[in-house]
Amino acid sequence: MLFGERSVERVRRERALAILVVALIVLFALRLIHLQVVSGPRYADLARRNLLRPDPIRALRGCIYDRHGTLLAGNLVGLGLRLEAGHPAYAQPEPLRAAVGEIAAALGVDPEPLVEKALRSRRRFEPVVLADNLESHQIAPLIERIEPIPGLDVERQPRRWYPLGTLGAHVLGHVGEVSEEELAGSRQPPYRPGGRAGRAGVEAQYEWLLRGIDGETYVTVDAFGRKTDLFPGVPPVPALPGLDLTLTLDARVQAVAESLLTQMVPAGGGGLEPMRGSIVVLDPWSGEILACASAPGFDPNSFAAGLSGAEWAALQGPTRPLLNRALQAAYPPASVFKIISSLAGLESGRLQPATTYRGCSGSYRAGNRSFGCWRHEGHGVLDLRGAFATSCDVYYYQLGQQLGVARLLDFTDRMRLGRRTGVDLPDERRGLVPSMAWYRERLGHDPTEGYALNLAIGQGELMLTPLAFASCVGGLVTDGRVRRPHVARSAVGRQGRQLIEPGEGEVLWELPVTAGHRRTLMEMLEAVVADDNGTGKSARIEGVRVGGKTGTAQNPHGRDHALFVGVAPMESPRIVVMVVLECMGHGGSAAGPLARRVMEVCLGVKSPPADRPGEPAESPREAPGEADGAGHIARAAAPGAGARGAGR
Amino acid sequence: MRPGSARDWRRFWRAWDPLLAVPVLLLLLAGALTVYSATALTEHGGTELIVRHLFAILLGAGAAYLMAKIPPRGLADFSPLLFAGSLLLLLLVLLAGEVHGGARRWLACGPVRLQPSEPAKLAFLIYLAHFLSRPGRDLRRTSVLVRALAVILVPTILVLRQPDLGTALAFPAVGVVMLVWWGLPWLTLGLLLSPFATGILAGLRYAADVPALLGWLWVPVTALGALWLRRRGTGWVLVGAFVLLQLFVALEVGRVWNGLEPYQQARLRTFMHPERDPSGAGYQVIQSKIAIGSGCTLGRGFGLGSQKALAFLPRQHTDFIYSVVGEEFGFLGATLVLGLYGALLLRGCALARRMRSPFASLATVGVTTLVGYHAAVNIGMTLGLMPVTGLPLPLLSYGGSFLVTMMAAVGLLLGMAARRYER
Repeated sequence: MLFGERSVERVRRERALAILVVALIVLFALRLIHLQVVSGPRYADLARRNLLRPDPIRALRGCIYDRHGTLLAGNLVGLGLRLEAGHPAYAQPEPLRAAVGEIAAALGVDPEPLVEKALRSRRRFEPVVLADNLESHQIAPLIERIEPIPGLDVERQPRRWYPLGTLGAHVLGHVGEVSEEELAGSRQPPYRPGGRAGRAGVEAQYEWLLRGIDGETYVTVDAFGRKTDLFPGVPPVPALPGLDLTLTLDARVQAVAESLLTQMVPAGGGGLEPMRGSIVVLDPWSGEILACASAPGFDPNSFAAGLSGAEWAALQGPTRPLLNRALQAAYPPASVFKIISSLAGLESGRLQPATTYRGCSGSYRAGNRSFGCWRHEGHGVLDLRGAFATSCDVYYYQLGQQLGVARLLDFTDRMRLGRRTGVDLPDERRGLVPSMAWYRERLGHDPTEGYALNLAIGQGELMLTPLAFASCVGGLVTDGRVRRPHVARSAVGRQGRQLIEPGEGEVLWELPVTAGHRRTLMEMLEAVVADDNGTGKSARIEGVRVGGKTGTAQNPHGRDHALFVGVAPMESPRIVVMVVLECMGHGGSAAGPLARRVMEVCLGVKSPPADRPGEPAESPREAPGEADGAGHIARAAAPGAGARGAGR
Repeated sequence: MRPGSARDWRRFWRAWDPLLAVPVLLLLLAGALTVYSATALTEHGGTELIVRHLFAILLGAGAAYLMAKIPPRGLADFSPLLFAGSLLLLLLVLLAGEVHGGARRWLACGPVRLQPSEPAKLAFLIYLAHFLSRPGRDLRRTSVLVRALAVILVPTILVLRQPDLGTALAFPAVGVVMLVWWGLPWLTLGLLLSPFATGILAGLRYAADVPALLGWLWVPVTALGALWLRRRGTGWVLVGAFVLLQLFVALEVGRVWNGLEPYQQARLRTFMHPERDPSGAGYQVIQSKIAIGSGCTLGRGFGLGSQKALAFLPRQHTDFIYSVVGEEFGFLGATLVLGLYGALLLRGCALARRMRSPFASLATVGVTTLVGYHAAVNIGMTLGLMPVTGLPLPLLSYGGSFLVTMMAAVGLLLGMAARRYER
């Protein structure tokens, strides 16, 4: 022992400890005096008003513009109904159930999901958003009922607004209330209950850019859970709006493309049904998507207003309006695939532009099977250019026979057609380019010659998405490089840094095709449209050299799908158009005219009205773009910031 | 014992040191009342919790009685086993404990959930007292000091891994005070604490809204410390080591900060700026301050606190019980409770000085510090003076393991007080 119980040091150390104890008690007592005696009345006042609650200031989402500065998505003010589910009046579930039921009745909606949601929020002592984006006339009948319901509040909050309605809906996507998973997720800054998050398309893909950061105030709340005042002690944290995004889309081209798809067509079982299909317009040099239309469409504003059960069911229906058919659906490419089979032949060295095979008599026998040509009268003897222009199946059967399945598949795979393009839109689908192994697994043996014949004309197991095929053609008609297709053109960060820059476009891959063969292909594409017996005559435009390829895909479930891929102008291609129409028959007659209309608008060509047989009535929206002589896709500078404020 | 006999009364008086026992009983009474108010007297409150609290007090009284009757000598001999056992339990918690709110703190055995870190505090301080009171344990000898520090660090690290920062820091707090009591030279204490001081000063960098220059305050402070050491005639090598240690700690602070759990960072930050984290820890502190402040001088009256009644106070019957005391009994009640803690602690210090047995003296200081540490950290938290650590208030808060442990500790104190003249 260092020092005995009577030692001086022990007394000294006891004193030190005692001083520490007394000092702490004095400190705490002083704090108590400060809190209770000096500021007591202020705190008592706060307590009397019962509680203090953090109240979010909703941030505005960034606006979305087309390449010329046309507002595609902005914000309006909507009214929301919020119930303080953690309010003491709802300590038992029954009163909450009753209150929510009454509100649901007044709104005319199904109470059960709202009750579920409110009960979940109650356990977390959080307010629950029962309805939002209401218009004032919807709120009016509720106002008198609100007073007696404890904790119910009307709040103003931004509401997503798509001023052009259905225009570009599949690309833009929509927003929805944040889900429980997102609330629990680790995304920084965290989401708040009742907030919005992008649900599809650009809204989801660029959520990180478009979403703002909610601010916060402290509010005091009265005994009924309603806001009474700002809490003076804490300054509000302002909300930070999301960033604006300019897309590569051209609203005028998009409007034309969508209007072309908006028609009623004869249904399989008689009667009329809305047309299904897609149109993609690409700038092949940059990968910019100028238009991406998919039919049937939907109005993203309906999500903001809240969907009724019937509306939701319609959106989930068999025609699948929410599907972006340009990249979330795959089709057999049919004759447009002859582009690929021709190149496979040329690259293998077994096919020359002058190569002729046995003349076409309308059908071809291979082994003991007969394979028909689409033209039953036959085409006679043709060289490659002639066979391509007339889309002679018999010529390609013999090419397929010569190349064999393995070589065709290998070339297709090297063209990377079955892969995702990595477009900046969510849920892109992958096409299907079978491999030898795939066939072996399916068939139990190597694919027979018949598969090669079918493959050469784009039938069989091949499935490609319109976007992937258009991108590939874009690479073929430029410098052999495929650019990543994209819809985001530019965005500027808060510090003025360019987050997304318009540019040359990221090169995805180089196609295994020599420049000479690409030139040959260009001539062939032009022949399809220019030759008098070409299948793509319907896409001819006065004064513009147009190229293209038609396709008519056999559809086991109904009428054939019509396909057309168009390129213009041929001397220096600026656009690639891919049209796919489900169950619409011949590519040349059904899809070709649509592609021509789109190309005319893109290139600013005004065609005489007489030259438009069987074309649908135009929507009034596209009218202003007509007279514009210059090509819309001349790489215009991003719209000035001054002209863009309108959407807010 | 025949009641009425003066000698028996005196003996009883001496056996249950009244200067210690009366504050403890009053605190228990205040605790039971407040827990009752905070649980049963709220909207839709029930009596289940108060019944369990009273049961825990009963259990604690039994534990206290047992601890008071065990001769300290026997306890000391038994302490290595106790300490080893509690370390084993702490390890077991880490391996197989139940997780609640992100921390692994509880062991379930049947219907009873045990928080082994609570009894471990008691076992630790008894063992440390035993260790230091053995002959030849002079803290001026480096080997003794290092071994004593190891005894402190092992449970600290184990509890830190749960993670439970507040409880983990109880071990060094109690340990260092016991070392000081046992004659740790003030200079050594300064050197031991200097890394922490440097760490806190360097950590100012991470505090929100602190001038950037303050983050460098540790540099002049270290320089002054080195100068002072030199003037006392410390060798250059030691002074150099001292400076290097501070440098190392200051650089390491950033890494430690990044290694903290986000909720811990939030608590440390919100301690200085409660408005930064409105819905989390900051909210609790704001609500606690409103509750205490609204009590004014005389309080709102027993059972009448509105903040409490509407359950705006988080964990009001456990960690934030002092807020309910402040709201319902006002400045008078809150200072009375402070005074009771003060009386208890000062009596503990006085008893420790008078103990003949070195073990008893050390254990008394340990128990006193344990109570004092918890009380200071908890009350400081409810007053918004210290970060939110989630430590309960001794003898007042609802909470089985902790209450029983604390009452057992007080029983030990009373037992040793009765035998203070024994060697």
